[in-house]
Amino acid sequence: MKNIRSLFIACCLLLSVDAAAQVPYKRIADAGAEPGNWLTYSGDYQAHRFSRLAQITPANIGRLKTAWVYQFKQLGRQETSPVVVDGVMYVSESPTIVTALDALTGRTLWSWRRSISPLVNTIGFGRSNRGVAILDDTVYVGALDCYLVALDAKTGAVRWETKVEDNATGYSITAAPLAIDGKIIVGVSGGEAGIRGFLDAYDAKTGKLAWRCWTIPGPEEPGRETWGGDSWKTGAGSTWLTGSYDPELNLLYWGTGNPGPDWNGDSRPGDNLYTCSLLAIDAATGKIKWYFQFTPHDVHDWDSNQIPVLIDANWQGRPRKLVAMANRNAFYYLLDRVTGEFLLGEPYTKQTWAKGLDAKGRPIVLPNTEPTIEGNLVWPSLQGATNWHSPSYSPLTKLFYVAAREMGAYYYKGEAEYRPGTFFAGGGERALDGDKAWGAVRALDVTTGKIKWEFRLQAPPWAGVLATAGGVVFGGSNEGNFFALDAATGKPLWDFQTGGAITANPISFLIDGRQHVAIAAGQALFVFSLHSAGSRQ
Amino acid sequence: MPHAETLHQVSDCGRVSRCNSRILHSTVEHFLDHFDHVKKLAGVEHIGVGSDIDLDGYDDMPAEENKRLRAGYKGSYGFREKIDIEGVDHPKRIFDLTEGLIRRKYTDREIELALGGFQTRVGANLVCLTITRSAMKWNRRLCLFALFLASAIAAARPGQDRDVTLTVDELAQGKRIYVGQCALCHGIEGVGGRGPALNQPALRRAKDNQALYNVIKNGVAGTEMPAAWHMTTREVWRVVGYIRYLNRAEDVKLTGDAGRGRELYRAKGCAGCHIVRGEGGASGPELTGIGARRSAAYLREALIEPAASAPEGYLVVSVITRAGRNLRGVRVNEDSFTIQLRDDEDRFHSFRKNELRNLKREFGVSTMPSYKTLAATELDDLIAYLANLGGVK
Repeated sequence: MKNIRSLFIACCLLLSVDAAAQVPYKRIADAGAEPGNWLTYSGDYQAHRFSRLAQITPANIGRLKTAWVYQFKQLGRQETSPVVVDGVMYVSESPTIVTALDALTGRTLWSWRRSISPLVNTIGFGRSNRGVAILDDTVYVGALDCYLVALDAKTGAVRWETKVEDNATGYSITAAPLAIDGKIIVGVSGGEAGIRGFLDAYDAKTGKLAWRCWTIPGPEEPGRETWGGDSWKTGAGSTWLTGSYDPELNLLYWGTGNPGPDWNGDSRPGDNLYTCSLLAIDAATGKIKWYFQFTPHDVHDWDSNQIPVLIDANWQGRPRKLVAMANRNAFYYLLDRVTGEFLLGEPYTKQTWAKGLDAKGRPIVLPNTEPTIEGNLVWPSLQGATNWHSPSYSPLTKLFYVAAREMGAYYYKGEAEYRPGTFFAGGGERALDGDKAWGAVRALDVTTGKIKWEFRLQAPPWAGVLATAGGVVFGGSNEGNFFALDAATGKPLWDFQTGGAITANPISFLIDGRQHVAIAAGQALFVFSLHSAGSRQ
Repeated sequence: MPHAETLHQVSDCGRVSRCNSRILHSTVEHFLDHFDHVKKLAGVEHIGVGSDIDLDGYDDMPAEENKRLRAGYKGSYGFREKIDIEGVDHPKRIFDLTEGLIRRKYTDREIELALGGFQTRVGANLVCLTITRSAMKWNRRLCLFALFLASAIAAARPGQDRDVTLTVDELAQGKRIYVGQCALCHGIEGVGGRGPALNQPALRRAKDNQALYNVIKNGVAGTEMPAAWHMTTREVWRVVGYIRYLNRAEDVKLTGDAGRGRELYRAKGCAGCHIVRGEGGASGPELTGIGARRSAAYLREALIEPAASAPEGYLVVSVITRAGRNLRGVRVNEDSFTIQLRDDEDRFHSFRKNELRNLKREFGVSTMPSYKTLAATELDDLIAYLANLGGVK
């Protein structure tokens, strides 16, 4: 019986490999229907980073062992979250390398490398690449020198490349693009270089710009009045992490970064729209449908580039389309994703900057929490209560899992002088480290924001989490632990020392009929699967 | 060498003429003779140096490759047996050229013009005429090169340093930044602490202002001194100015006798736990070079009240295993699931945390005994010995 089933699965795989790499938009929109693949950065458009695979459970996780390890081709910051399609894994590497791997063995099928000058501007962030997008038979990657490149999924040959913006002025790309119907959505980094932020959509076939949505309003546009003088021109508001998408509403949800200069707000009086905000953008036109600003006039570098998680749940007795975000400013937010209405905001880590949020979700900022020349100790640190590493939502437990950071910092205010392509930040921080800082994986009740359980971590983490239908939450630590917790209770079930800091997000996929889990750690990608007693591995 | 007349024309119309050395065995001095020649005839601002020489020159290439290279450029160059110019055939040649020019009494400005200014001007013109991507890139490279050149000049010219005379306001700002960001380790007024004292005329890692600037901006690798990546150039210079202002203080004289201190160090068993220049036990922090990292005041406190200055990386941890075994040691490493300790006999122990009944981190505790029972003069002697470890004058 078992053999027949294996044969059947093998046939299915063969068939699907035959028609391989044809990933029409419909497949991504329906990603939940094929849990064996991981078709987009966060697993699905709703950005749940949830695997519907249920083979690995709290009962059998003791048998989880390494299936294979892939060593990255070049030393660097590895923050990748792979995509897996029909037996092929597409993994991006630092600085801008894309490699296709046989998902069964980890052997390289092809590898493409963009020549990145050592002089490339990466102002305020590391030389990393967080992942690729796939659509039809093409793989899309953003390059550190701020190009969008389309690669043939079978060979890695370049189909086209488009310059998104000028890297000389500080624009760059580290985020995975998001592929929707016929378009590739790309966000940019550069918030510490005084860029003017935007989100771009490109025609997937030709690479032509379909629309550009500026995150900082220009002259005559609403919101311009929230910037004193000409400060909007260097207002930043980058879009450096992959957003989410609601196909029904045809709305993109995308977080925006800090205003520039970061820690000295003197030159930019006002709320500084649309920085530190969530934007709902019409995918057809690029027009902003609504916005919600988490941190008006931010002076702590609390970008709101975290993952907006789209959740359909009951809110006060009736079903509602929601968007949840665990923000870098230490509050967990729940909004109506049709209208942008603020529903709930609760702190999920220690914070010392706001008395709370008012009825509209605007923070009631405490006095004397701004950066000073001498330094002002505030929680959270500028790296935030969480950062780019992904949260996860399980529709089974109805819990929102987040890798949270408990860390304060002395914030300094300094001078800021804008020169294109240079650091434009106006200060900095000295974070409390060592035993004064720590972290946790926390499970939040989606509709109340209350902490259901936590698992304490040695240091503030940089690794995302992945919940699975098997009732397990995977996470990683700075000290190299890749681990699994019970999704219902947070109890540790399993852990593995990878030997390198984990600054990446886990994913799960099916190959050879078995559920696998992958995580980048240090300079390698580790892939785990269940070993049965007496198996060849 | 190009004809004098050609060079005069060059100086008039800004055209480019090449001077390639054709002497059989040429050295950096021949190379510099060209500079003198062009300077005399056309002016130093008309000198330009090409950089299309491989990092290590050509003469040391494998014979086959060398042959291919020569064949490839047969039409455009008449190669000599030896291609490279001695002293200009290595990656740091620009430093040697700079040194040579200093020797020949070129001013900083002249060196800048000779080694980069010409191309920067030509590059800038290119950008004005045709705004192309490659021209922009080229111009950026040249700007970077100019920066590099400034540091090469600073590195090569002895006894010349940047002046940091600040206004009262600038000094006050330097002080505010210092108090907020430096004083935690270096002490208010620079008396030192976790970091070395800065209120002395000579600083070990910062022989001049430029070096001090570099230490602040870039940090010191392998030490606790972080880089001030977030400060603007102007802010760093103000901190430099303030630290130099603190430097006016007289050097703190150590009253103890380092020789006697060394004997005490042996007699009191310090070497049982601390390594100095390769000798000693390892359960406490290594003290080789401690005088460069810690002030005398800090060392005194550490001897009298060790717990008050227990260094990071020496956290005392005591555990009780499920089997009821007790163990106390210094934490060597820890992650979310395991902890590694070193006991007082320098043996390593590793535990999974979920297998421990109790795990206690003893913050503010040190395994080092207090030496407050030493006579005052003995303490002075010991401090003098320790403060001299690491080459503080």
